[in-house]
Amino acid sequence: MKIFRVVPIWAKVAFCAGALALMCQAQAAQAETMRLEALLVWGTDEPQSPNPKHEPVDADLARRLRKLPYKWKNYFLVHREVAEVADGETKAKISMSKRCVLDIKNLGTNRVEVRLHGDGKPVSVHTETLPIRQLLILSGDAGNETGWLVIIRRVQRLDSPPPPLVKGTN
Amino acid sequence: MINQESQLKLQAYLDGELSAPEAAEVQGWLSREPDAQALLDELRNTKAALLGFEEGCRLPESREFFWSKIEREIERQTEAPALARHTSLSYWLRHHFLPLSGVALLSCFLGVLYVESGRSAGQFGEMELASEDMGSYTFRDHNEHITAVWLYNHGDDSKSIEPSSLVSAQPE
Repeated sequence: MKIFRVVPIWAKVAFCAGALALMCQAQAAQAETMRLEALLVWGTDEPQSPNPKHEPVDADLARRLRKLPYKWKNYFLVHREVAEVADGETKAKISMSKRCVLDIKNLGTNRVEVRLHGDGKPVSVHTETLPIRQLLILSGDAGNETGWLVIIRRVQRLDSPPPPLVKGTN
Repeated sequence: MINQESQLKLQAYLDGELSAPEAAEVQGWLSREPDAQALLDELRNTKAALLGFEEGCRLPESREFFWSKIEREIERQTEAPALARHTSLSYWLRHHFLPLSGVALLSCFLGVLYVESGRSAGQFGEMELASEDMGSYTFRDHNEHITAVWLYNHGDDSKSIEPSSLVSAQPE
């Protein structure tokens, strides 16, 4: 078209970049379903949990927990739940233990609202930005110099593209 | 020897460009100087020779057609500013609308990006406790991307929830 021949090149670049940026933004702003993982973890200095069903948390999580001002040396996974929460929806009554229940609401734009219930009664409400890799940890004293931690984090959705393969080193 | 100024004056005399007093002065000078008279004769011969070789300009078309072309060109040049006024909108669209729309799109994107980043980075989260007897400490590690909340109970009211009751490590 003749009209595009007279438009300066910088204008074409600016137009295309702007349109592309808006398309990316529009795609990013689309309602996103969050895949969330909730972990109930017990922190202790004991090398073993008295419950044989408890396993140590994964190495990366343990490393990150040890950087926090918690006093415990070891962390054991008590219970794990995974939930997919659509934008604006609430996943209610995620049972972490007989006495601990969570309600998680996807507020959109990577934000979540977490309601913590203990013995059927509300304990606290937390609103937090939760991008991938971010951890939200609710914790408290579990008696006998131990502690409980409810850890909420994002995990890759099943329909999202897999992470790039990393060749192992021998 | 005749200097250059005298030569030029002699040339002007030959072409009839001098005033009467100047011409009379030159005539007196010519009668006294045979070299000047000789130069005048030479110039007169040269002028006569050149006149004989001067050709008239012959047009490839008729006189009427030649002048009509000139007339059309004059008319075209007078209409050009008016035509420019008529095409100014399309000119503006071509030269300004697309570039400006591109810049506007980029500005919109950057604005949205700024608002979104401010919304996500500027908010540190909010917390609400169910009981006034409960307290909390919040620790944020931005390098490790961790927000850790420690809940505790500093009241004796038995109606409040004891956070330590939420988990038990004992086999259930």
